[in-house]
Amino acid sequence: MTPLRITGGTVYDPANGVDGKVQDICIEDGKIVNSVPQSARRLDASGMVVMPGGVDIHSHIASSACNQARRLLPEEHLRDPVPAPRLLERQDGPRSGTGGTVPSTFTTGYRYAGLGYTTAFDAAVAPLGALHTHLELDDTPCIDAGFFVLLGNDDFLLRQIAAGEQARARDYTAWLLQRTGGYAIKIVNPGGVEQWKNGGRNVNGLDDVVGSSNVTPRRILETLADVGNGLGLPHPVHIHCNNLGRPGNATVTLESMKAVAGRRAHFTHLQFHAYGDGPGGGAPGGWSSAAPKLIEYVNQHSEVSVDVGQVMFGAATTVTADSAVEYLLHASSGRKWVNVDIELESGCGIVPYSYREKAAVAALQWAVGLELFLLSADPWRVVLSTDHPNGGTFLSYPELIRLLMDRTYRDEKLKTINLRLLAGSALLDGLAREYTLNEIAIITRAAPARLLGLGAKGHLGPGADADVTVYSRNDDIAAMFATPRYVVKAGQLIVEEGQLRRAPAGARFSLAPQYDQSIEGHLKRHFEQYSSVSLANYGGRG
Amino acid sequence: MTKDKGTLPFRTCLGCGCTCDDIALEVAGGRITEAGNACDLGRAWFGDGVVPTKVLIGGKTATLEEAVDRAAALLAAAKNPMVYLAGDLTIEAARHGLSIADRVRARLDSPASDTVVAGLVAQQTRGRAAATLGELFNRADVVVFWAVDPAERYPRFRERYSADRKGLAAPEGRASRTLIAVDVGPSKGPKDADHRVSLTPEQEIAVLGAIRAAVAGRQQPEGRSLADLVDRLKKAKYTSLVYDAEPSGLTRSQVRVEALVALTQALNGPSRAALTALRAGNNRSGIEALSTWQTGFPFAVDFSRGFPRYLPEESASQLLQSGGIDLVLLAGSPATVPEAVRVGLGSVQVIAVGPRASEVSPGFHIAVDTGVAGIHEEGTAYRMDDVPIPLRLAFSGPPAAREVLQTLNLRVLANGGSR
Amino acid sequence: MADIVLTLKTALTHATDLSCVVPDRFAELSNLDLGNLPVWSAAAPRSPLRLGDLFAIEGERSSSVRVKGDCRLGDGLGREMRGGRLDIEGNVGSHCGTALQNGTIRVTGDAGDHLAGALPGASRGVVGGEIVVLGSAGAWVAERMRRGLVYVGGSTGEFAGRGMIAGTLVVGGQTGAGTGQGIKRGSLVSLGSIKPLDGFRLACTYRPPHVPLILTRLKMAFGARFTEAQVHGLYRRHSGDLAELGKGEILEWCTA
Repeated sequence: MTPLRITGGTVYDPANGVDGKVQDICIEDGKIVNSVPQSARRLDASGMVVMPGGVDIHSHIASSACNQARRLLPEEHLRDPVPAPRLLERQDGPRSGTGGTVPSTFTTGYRYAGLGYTTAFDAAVAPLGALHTHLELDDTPCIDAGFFVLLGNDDFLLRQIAAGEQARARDYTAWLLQRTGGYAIKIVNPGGVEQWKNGGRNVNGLDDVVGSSNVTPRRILETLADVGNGLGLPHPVHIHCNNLGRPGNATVTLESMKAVAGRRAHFTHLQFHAYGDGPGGGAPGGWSSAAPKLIEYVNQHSEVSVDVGQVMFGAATTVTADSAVEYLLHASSGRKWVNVDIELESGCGIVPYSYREKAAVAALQWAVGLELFLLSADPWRVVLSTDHPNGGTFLSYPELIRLLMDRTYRDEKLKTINLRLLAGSALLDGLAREYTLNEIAIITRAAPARLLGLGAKGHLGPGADADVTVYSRNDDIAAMFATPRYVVKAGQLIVEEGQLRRAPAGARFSLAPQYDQSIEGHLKRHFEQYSSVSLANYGGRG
Repeated sequence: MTKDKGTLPFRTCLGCGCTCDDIALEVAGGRITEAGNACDLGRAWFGDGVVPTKVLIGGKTATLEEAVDRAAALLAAAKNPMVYLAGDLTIEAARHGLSIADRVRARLDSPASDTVVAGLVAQQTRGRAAATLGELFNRADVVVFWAVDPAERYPRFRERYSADRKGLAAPEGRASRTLIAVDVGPSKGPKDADHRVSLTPEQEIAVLGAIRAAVAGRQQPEGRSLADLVDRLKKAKYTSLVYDAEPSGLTRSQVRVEALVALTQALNGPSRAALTALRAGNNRSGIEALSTWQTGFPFAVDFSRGFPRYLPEESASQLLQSGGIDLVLLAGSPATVPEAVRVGLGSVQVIAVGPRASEVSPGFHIAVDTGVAGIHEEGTAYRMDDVPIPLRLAFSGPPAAREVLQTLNLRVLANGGSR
Repeated sequence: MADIVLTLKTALTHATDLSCVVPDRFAELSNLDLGNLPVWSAAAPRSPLRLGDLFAIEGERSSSVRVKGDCRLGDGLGREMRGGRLDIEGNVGSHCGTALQNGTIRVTGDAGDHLAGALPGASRGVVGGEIVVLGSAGAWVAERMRRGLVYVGGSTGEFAGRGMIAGTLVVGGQTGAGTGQGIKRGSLVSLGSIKPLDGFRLACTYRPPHVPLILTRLKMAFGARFTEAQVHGLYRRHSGDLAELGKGEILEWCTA
C-alpha cells in the first residue's frame, strides 16, 4: 500500500493529548507511522479537521434480530432505495441496497464509512445466531466489526449461578466467546427475558427470584461482572439494565451500578434507564428525568462507563433481546410486532416506532439523553450512541453532535418540543455547556476505543490503525459531521471529496480466552437434554 | 474432515426444514452407505452421494471455462434476465448468485414466491410471535397442530423439536403435554391427539377470528369443542401452534396466515405462545435470510432499475409464463424447483449451475454440475426457524457451486455488469 | 394556477409504472422536467421511458393535474401523494392512490386492483385524503386504510376494506367475497348488496347521521349520484370484525 501524508490539517487526537494542533499524519502499510518519504502521496487537509475514524461502541447492525427487523420493514426499504456507489476499484464489487432505519448490509457499511465511522460493534448476538452475524458481517464492507454475546438469561449460566459454580460460569463464558467468535459479555434485562419466556411478565427488581431461589438479577450481574474481569476481557461486562423504558426505572439502574461497585462495568443506553417517577419525586406512573442522579454516581465512580443511547426525533425501530419490553411497546403503540423466543439463551423483540417532538414521553427521553451528556464530568466514560436503530439511526449522529456543540441551536429545538414532563428539569433550567471538538473526538472515537480495549483504534499515534476522518469546517456542525471530505480506512482512501470511492472488507474482532476443557463434558449433557442443535454444530465460527 | 471409509458424525440433512444436524453418515469408497438417525426423507435426500460431473453447452460437453464465458456473455446480452436461487445451495454459494443478479440488474427470485409467499407477506404486515425450535420442546405444555400432521412431510419434527421430546417444562415429553389436532377438511392433525376440532376449509378463517375474539373476551365461542379449545389455550402456560407453510391441498392465503399470526400474538398477554411455520428444506429459509440482509427484501426482488425493489405480487412462475423473462440463471438443484416454475423454464434460455443440472431433460442451454451442499460442499444452511446450521464436507465431488458462481460473478464484474 | 394536463398519445401496450404522476411533486416542476420524468414499461424494464414520450403535457408547476386517455395499463398513479388534486378522465390500472397521505384523486372510469392500497408488507395503507372512482374497482380496495374517504360508484372485487384501521369506504354497487374482513374501526357503507362475514354482528337498523354528510360531500365535490332514499334512508349496522377489535361497522343500506 502506498504511503500517504495528510498535510496541514488541524488534528484532534485526544488519546495522545493533541487538541487542535496543525500537524501532518503519516500512513504506511495501513498503520500510522512517524514519517513517510518525501515522495509519498500527499493529501492536503489545510484548514480541515482531522480525527481518528469513528468507533461505535453499541449498535445493532448484524444479527438474526436485525434481519428479522429488515424483513418486517419492506415499506421503509421501498422508500429508501440505494443504487450501487461508483467505486474506483472494480474488485470492491459495488452493490446496491436499501436504507430506512435498518439498512441492508452493504448499505450499512457504505453509510458508516460515509459518516467517517470505521469501527462498529453489534451489541446483542444470541450465540445460536452467531454464525448468522458472521455471515452478515462478511457482507458489511468498510468497517471493522465485532459483537457482544448475550449471556444474562442463558440457561446453562443461570444453572451455574444456582449451583454456586463461579469457576464453571467463567469457563462456560470463555468457551462461548471462543466458540462464537464474540468480543464481550452482554447482559440484557438480567433474568427478565427468562421470566418472560417462562410465562411471567418480567422481573421488577434486583432481588426477584428467577427460577432457582439462588438466581436473581443481582447475582447475574455480579457473576458476569466478575467473570469478565476475571478473564481479563478487553471490554468489561456490557449491561442493559432491568425495566428499560419504564417510569421510575432509575432506582433499579442505580442499584445495578451499586451491585457491581468496585468492578469495571459498562452500562449501555443509560438514557433508557434514567427515568424518575413523577416531577419532584411525585406519583408513581408519572415520568421525570433522573439523569442528574445517575450521572452523579457515574461521575464519582471511575470503574463505571456508559453510552448514552440518545433518542432522536423521527423514525426508529426498536430491536432488542429485551422481548418483555417489546410486548409492552406493542400493546401501547399498536404497531406491528415481532417476538422470537431464542431457546435457552435469550429473546428477540421488534416494534417500529417514531419519536415525535410533540409527544411528552419522547420529549422527556430526548432531554434525559442530553442531560446525561451535558452533566457528564468525564467524556472518557460517557460516550455517544443512539442504540442504533432504537433511539434513532446512526445517520442522526451529526445532528446529535450539533445539539451538544451548539447551545443556541439546542435552545431553539427545546422551544419546539412538548415540555409537559420537563418541568424543573436540568435542561429546562439551562445547561450552558457546549462540547468542544476535542470532547466530540473523545466521545465518538477515543473513548469508545479505549473502553473496548482496542489499542490500535481511536487514536493517531504511531502503530495505530490508519483509520482517519477529515472534515471540512462548516458553521453548520451537523453538515460538517454528516459529510466528511476524506475517510481513510486501514491506510486506503475510501471517501474522497465526500464520495465513497473504495469499499474494502473490514476486519473482525474476536477473542479466544482460555478455559478448563472439562466444561465440554457438562455442556455435552446439557445439549443432549435441552438443545435443538448438536454441540458440535453450535455457535458458529470459533 | 473427509475419510475414505468410516463414520462422519453430526452431519446436516436438508431433506426438509427440520435440518436435523445429528446425522451419522457412513461412507466408503466415495459413497454414502448409511445415513444414521435420518428418516426416510433424509435417507432419500442424501442418497449414495454419487452425482454427475458434466459441463454441457447446448447438450455438448464443454469445459467449465467455456461455460462460464458463455454464461457471462449471455447475462450481459440478456434483455430481462432472472436469477433463480433454488434449493441445496449454501449461503456462501448463493451470495454470489445474488451478487450477479444485482450486477446484471436481473429479477431475483426463489421458490418462496410460488410456495410460502402468503406467510412471508403476512409476517411483514403483522409481525411474528415465534420461537426457535428448541424453545418449543422446552416450554410448551400445549401443542396445537393446525391442519397438519408433521409425520407426513417433517418426519422427525415431533421427536426432535416438539410434542414427543422431553424438555425443561415437560420432563415426561408427550405425557407432560396436551396435544390438540385441528383438522381442516382433508388436512388432518395427528391421530394421537388428546383433543380434536374439525373444521371445513370455508370455516377456517372465521373460526380463527372467533377464537381470537374469545381470547380477547369480545365474544363467547360457539359450540363445545371450540369453547374447550379456547379454554385450553387460555389456561396454557406456553402454547406451541404449528401449521404447514408449504402449499398442499388447502388454499394458503395471506388472510389465513395473518389470522394464525394474529391469534398467536393475542395469546401473548393472557399466556405465552409461539407459531411455527413448517417449511421445506434445501436451505430455502436461508436464501430468504440472505436476500433480506443484502437487499432488504426476502424474495421477489427486482434490480432492473439499479436498486432492489420488492414485487411480491407476481410469482416467478407467473413472470416466466407472461414471457417477460428472456434468460434464467438457475442456481442450485433443479430438482427443488416448484412444478409451475419448472414448466415456465421450458420456454426460456436457462443457465443451470447445480447438482445434477446435466440430467434434466430436455436439457438446459448451459448445464454445470456441482456438488451437493452438505455432502460435497461445506457452508451454511438455515433451519425453518431461521437458525443457521453448518454444513460439512463428506467427500469431494464435482466443482463446488460456490466456486462456479464466484467465478461467474467475477467474470460478470469484469465485464462491467449492466451499469 | 392552471392545471397540468397529460393526454395519452397512443394506447399503452404493456403495464406501465406511472407512479411518478403525483400532483404535489409536480408543483415544483417545469414542463420540461415533467416531460423528463422516468416511467417504466414492462416491455423494457431496464430502460426507462420519459413521461413526455407517452403523454402530451400542457402546463407546469401546479398541484392540480388532469390525465386524459385510457390508462387501464397505467399503474401506481398518485402513489404516496401528499396533497393536490389528480383527475383521471378515463380508467386507471392497479395500485392507484397507494398509501395516499392527503389530497384528492378522482377517476371517471374504472380502477384496477389495490385501489387506495398499502405498500407491500406495510401495516397501514391510506392515511388521509379522498379517492373517488365513479366506475368499478378491482380487488383489495382500501386495504388497511387508517384515515380517509374512498368511494367506488360501481362494484368492488374481493376483500374490499380488508383490515381497515379507520376511515370510510363507500361502495355503490356489489361487493365481493371477504369484504370488511379484519376491520378494526371505520365505516364501510354498502349501497349495493353485501353479505357481512361471521365476525360481524347485526347491532341495529337506523338512520346513521354521518351517511347523509358523506354522500352529500361525494355528490357536491365529485359528481357522484345517489338517490334520496340512499342519502336519508335506513341502514343495518353490522359491527365487527370481532376478531380484531370489533369497533368497525358495515352499514348496509336497506333497499326497501
